[in-house]
Parts: sequence; structure tokens; C-alpha cells
Amino acid sequence: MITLKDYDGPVKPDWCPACGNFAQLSAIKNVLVEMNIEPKDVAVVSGIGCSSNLPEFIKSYGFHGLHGRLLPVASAIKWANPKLTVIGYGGDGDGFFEGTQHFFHTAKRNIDITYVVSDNQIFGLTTGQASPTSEIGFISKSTPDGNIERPINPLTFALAAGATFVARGFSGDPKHLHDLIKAGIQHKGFSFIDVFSPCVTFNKTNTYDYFRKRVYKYESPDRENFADAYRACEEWGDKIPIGIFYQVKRDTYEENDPVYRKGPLVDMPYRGILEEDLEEFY
Amino acid sequence: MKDDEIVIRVAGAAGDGVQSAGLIISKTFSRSGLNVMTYNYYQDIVRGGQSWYQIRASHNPVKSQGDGLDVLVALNRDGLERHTNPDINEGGASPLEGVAIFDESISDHSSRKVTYSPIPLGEIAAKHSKVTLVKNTVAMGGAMAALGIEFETLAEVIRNTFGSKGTVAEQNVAAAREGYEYYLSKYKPIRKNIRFDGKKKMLLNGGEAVGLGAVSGGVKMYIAYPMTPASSCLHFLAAHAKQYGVFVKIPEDEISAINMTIGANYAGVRAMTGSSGGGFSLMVEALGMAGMLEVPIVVYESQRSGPSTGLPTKTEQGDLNLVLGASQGDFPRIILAPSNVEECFYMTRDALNLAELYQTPVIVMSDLYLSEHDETVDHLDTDFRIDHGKRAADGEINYRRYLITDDGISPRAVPGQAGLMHNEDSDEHDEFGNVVSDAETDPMKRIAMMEKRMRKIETYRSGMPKTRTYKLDDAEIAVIQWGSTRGVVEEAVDALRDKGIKVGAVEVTHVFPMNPDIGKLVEGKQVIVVEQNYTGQFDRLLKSEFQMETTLVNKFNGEAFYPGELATQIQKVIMEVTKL
Repeated sequence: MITLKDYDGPVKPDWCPACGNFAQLSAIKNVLVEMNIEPKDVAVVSGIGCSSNLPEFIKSYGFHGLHGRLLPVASAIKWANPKLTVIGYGGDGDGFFEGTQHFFHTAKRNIDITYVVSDNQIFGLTTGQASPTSEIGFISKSTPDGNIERPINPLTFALAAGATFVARGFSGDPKHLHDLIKAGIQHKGFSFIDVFSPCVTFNKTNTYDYFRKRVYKYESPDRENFADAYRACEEWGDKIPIGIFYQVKRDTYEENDPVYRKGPLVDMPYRGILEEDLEEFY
Repeated sequence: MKDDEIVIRVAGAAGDGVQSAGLIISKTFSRSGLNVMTYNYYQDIVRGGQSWYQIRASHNPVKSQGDGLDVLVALNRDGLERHTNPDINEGGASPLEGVAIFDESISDHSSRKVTYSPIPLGEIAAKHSKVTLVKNTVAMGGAMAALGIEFETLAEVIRNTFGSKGTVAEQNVAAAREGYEYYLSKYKPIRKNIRFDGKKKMLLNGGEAVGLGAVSGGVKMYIAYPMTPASSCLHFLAAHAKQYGVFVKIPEDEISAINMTIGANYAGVRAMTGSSGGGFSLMVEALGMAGMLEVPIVVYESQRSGPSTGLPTKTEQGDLNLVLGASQGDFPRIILAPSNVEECFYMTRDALNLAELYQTPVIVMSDLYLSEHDETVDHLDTDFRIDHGKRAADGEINYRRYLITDDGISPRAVPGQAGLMHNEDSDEHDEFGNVVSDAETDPMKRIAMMEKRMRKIETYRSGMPKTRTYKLDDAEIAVIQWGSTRGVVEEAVDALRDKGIKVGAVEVTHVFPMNPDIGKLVEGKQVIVVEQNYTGQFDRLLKSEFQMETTLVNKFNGEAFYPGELATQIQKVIMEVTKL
């Protein structure tokens, strides 16, 4: 039996007390235990940012890479060894600024990985600049007169890209978040979970209180209905929905690649070049 | 023009079928038992413009595209006029002093050195097929007749190219035969002293050789974004993906390509990426990450003329500074530069072992010239032993991914291995992979880890192969070259030796780290450095590694060196220096 202790990382989290990331770390660990997945079969890939320090805090195969580049790394790990549970974890600056193109194309490819974004609507590690999800008027170190750039909506972006699982959680509701992450890992294909994760140090606007007043649990009558999902994802203001907005079954990239279909690349024995391969050059 | 070799050129516009005609002729030669070297001159255009394809063949070794021109197959008027003009301005190519084959509708007959041999190409082609490009096949027939090649060899290559049983193949064979017979009925073949032993030879280009080398070296994933001239490898592997069991993917950009390559290697599957300078520039940050995480990767970097988009279809060796300096901070990297097509194969697979042995990036540098020309090679040795380097055993107690060792190399573990879970981090880390900079930077651990990584260079250097030389023993002058200029330098050396000049060559394939033996090899000799870029990037590297006086002979007009041109330039430098 796998226990929580098995997932205890070598290092204690260095996040600020009450940081939204704690709830996500705890949810990920709990889900993995609940699903009885061994730490050796898990790869956690992150980018750069406060949240991206997570691989150190969970005992598994961790990969703490470059800002914005976690999805290509996570994709290839999954392609190389599909027996692994691959979780991508990063922040909103990481994923929706520098990593935008990877986010779009990974969603489109429908690779069977789970991508959790700790969305605090600000740059934390670099001490408080406006991020791609900062709202208009948001005052930060980089926007002292208020942000004038429209925020990205990561959910509709993921939908437009072709993600097959689109959800949003809130670190202030750990039980609900836990269920989302579990559903995401269980989903076969690219699952995207945007998590409201209050930055208690630099974001004084989008606080736990701010979200507690606004979020409500959205229950989709038909998760396969794209138009409904899109409409629900667009809701923003006094009421903000959290939950699974969209989930469809579609072939993963892996299922349609002729080479990949033959089995996990990591298990394929060395083939090399055979004598008959050289015939075409004569 | 030499008596013991053939130089033939096919000229026309993009879309005229220049390259496919050139390939068929090349293969006809290689199947006749000749050594073949080709040269592909083309533009960054899909239709129109002007391009040509040169083939040099001999029973003797051919090491460059050569000088002189025996036969021209002109597929349009521009091609005929351009290549018969004595003042041809094609970056070093020779004008025709031999037989010109072209459609009789073209009436240019202005050069006295040319034997104009028009053939009703269009008319003959129309008898056999509705496809206008069949006129090229007629012309090939004429050209093979002019060179005294057996028709059946050409016919066999045509059948292979067009599918052996199809009517298309037979139409083309018939068209070629009529071109062949037409030539013989009207004109005389060229007399050349060529020996055909009929022993077929392998013919392939550098990109294909890199692809074959990758597969031979155990690559299961090739992930790359298209960019000339690295694409010849991508296309080759994509076309053979199922046959070789290689997963081939074009991702959204080169940043993704290299990050995926790193991810796959991290997970224990040999993966490789490739690009030209522009794409490599995008890979720079991740290259440093591979150095820091000590994830083995091989990057194939095929240079073209820069800066920026530069001359997209032209050759250069201008990316050395980029590759040497790519990414912030210091980390060990190995840079290899194969000198010919054969070496592209062997060096690429060696690079894959080196990357795993030293757990660091290895860059295989080629260029457009090497990646895109076809060359005959000896039958490739398919035997290869994969060396995964140091690996930790499952369940090892107190596993340290970055264990401090004398040789700088620590045991790797890949996901799925029991009990070896750890973190690989782009932040500076300790032996366990834990970050040493977040809560409290530990200078001692930083020093230890930096020194551990950098020690790998010395470990590698202590076992690296000796530098290859060519006719250097009695030489008073040493020409140092790197990468693809080897063949042309050797031919220039031969030409200068024929004139009694005691010159030899030092051939550098292991560009960085460099073998210290180079300093001794050139001691007491006048040193000339040959390379294809403006500033002499390799020359500068040599001077930073060794105390030596050098003179640079360079070319950066986009075309490769020609042997005669290079010999003249080297001789000029020798005379200038001697005068002083």
C-alpha cells in the first residue's frame, strides 16, 4: 500500500505560509496515494516560478526545467515511457506567457498528461509583476498605474486549442480540487486544470476572500457540449464557476502514431541499422 | 579537365527536375562502380530561378565537386547560356569546355570551346509520355551516350526511381533509350580514360548519413522543426520511421524540439534533434539546461550562410561561435564536425554514446554542403555497441544522482526505476539534486558541483582520438581545416604537391574540446587555416587553444571551395608569407 509518507519530498516547501500552492501539492499527493500509484512511476515536470519548485517537495521523478517549457518535456517523457503518470505543474506566467505556444499545441495533440496551473494572477518569484491573467486595472510593480492589457482566459484558450479535459479549481476548496485533479489524472488525454491559487504576499486583490465570495461549483449537464462549456468558461465577475467544464473522449496522439502504437519506446529493444536497410542506397 | 574523371552538370530552373535528373545520373555512375561526388546549387525558391546539379565521378577517389566540366545538360536556355559562358559567375564553378546537350529549339551556339549537341528532347519525350519532364530523361540518355556509359545501367536506375513495373518507368526507359541512340547516331562520345568495374557503391548525402547514424546509434525519437539544410535528415527519418521504428515529430518550434529531446533522454529513450543556425539559436537556453541537469542529448547542427535568414540554400561554417558559446554559464559540451558523408554516419552514432557516457550535450556540426550533396561511401558497418554509461541499479540505497566522482560522471537513474526517485533541477543543486540556492546558497556545494561537471571535459579529453593528418610528415606548410572542407583541402594539397610545394593538412573533426596534439603537429610549420566564414571563427579558437601564428584562407560567398581555387589561394598565402 502506498501511503502519503512515500510521497514526502526531500525538502520542505519553501512557499510563503498560506500560499495557494500548498493545497495543490497536498491534493496531488493524496490523489496519487488514493490511486495507488507508486512514486517510481510518477514524473512531475515543472517550469520556473514559485509553484514550479514543487518537484522537490514530492518524492517522485522530478524535473524542474525552464520557464515556460515544461509541457514539451512532459510530453516527451510520456512518449518515451507511457507507463508513467506524468504531471506538468507551473504558474500562469510560465504557462500563459512564455509557454503559450506549447500550451496550445500540447492541448491540440491530446497527449495523455495532466497539466495543473497554479494561477495566482501575478509573478510571485520575481516579486510582483502583472501576469497574463492579471485583471485590467491591477496594480503591480510592473503596472504602477494599473494593468491595461486584457487578461487571457486560460480555459477558453484550452478549449479553442482542443483540450479534451478543461477544469478550474480553487486552493480554498481542497476537497473539490482533489476531485478535479483525480479526474484529470484519470482522464485519457490532455487534461488541463487551472487553479485559483492566491498569492498571499504580492496579490492583495485576488485573495482567498475575493474568491470565496465569488466561486460556485459548476455542474455541467453535458460535459461533451463544447458551446455550453465555452459559455460557462467565459463567466467572470461577481460569480465565477469552478469545476469540470469540458471532457470528451478523443484519440491521444500516441494512439495514432504508427511507431508508438507498437509499444512503449522505452521497452523497444535496440534495432539499429540492418544490412537490408542499406540496399536502397545502392 | 582530367582524363580520369567525369564532370557533368544539369542546369535549369527550380521545378524543371534538375535535382531528380542529377540523382539518377549520380546513381548510374555509382552503380557502374565509380566514386561519385555531387554538388547541389539551388535557390530559395520553389519554381523558377536557376539551379544546377554537378556530378563528378572517377575510378579514383573523388573528394570534392571538382573543377572543369565535360558535359552540360541544359534544361532551359538560361542554363545553356550561363554554363557555356567563360565568365560564369557561380561562386567558383567552371564553364563548360565539352559537350552541351539541350533541346534543339534553343539556338545559342556562341562558345568555341563547346561541342553543341542539340537533341529534339521535347519531340522525343512527346512520343513516349504526356509528361513534359520526360524530356529530362531523354537528355539523360543523351548524356550517358556521350560519356560511354552502358544504357542498361541507366535503365535500371530509372526503373528503380519510377517503380520497376509501372508504365511510367517503361515510358521513361524508352524515352531515355531514344535519347541515347539519337546521340550516338549524330555525335561522338567523349573519350575518357575511365575504368568501370561494375561494383555498385553506396550513394547517399550527409543528412541521410546522419539519420542512419542516429538509428544505428539507438535513436528512437527524432524531434525537429524544419529548416534547411538540416531537413534532409528529418525527411529521411520521417520517410523511414516505420521501417526503423523511430518516432519522428515536428513540434511547434525548436524550443519545443530540444525540450522534448531532453525529456525523452531523461526518461531513458535515446532522442535527437537537429536544425540550422536559426533554429539552434532558439535551442540555446535548453542546451544549457541539459548541461546543468546532465541529461545526455545530441543536437545535429547543419550550418548555412548567416547572419539571420542569410542565404538559406547556401553553405557556410559560420555557426562555430554560436555553438561554442551557446547558453549562459559554463558547462561541458562536445562539438564534433564530420568531414564527409561516411563520417556523418559514424560520428553521429559515436556522438550518441558520448552524450550518454559524459551526460552532457554533444553537437554534431555539419553544413549545407555536407548535408545536401551525395557521395559514394564504402559499405557502412552496421555493427554498433550502445554504451549507456554509468547507471544506478534499482533500489540502490542513498542514491545520489549527482554523486561527486573523480571523473565527474555520476550514475544516472531514469523514471520507473525503483527506489531512485530524485529531482533534476536547472537550479544549482547538491549531490541529491536538491536546490542549493533557494533558502540559503551554499558556496561550497556550488563549487563542488561546478568542478564535478567540468571534470567531465578532462575525462573526455584524456581518451579522445588523435588528430588526423594528411601528407603532413615532410610538410613545411600545414593547412588546418575543420569539418566539410577536408576533401577539397586534400585535393588542394595534392595539387600543390604536384607543383613541388611541401604542404600537408591537419584535419580537425573533434572541434571542442580539441586534442592538444594539434599544437605539436604544426610546430615549426607555416600554418594556414581554411574555413568558410568571414571572421575566421575556427582560426580564433585555434589561437585561443594554442600559441600559433596563422594565416586565414576563407570563403563566404555561399558556395563551397573548389580545389583549384583553394590551391591558388593557399599558394598565394605561402608566397606572401615567404616573401616577408
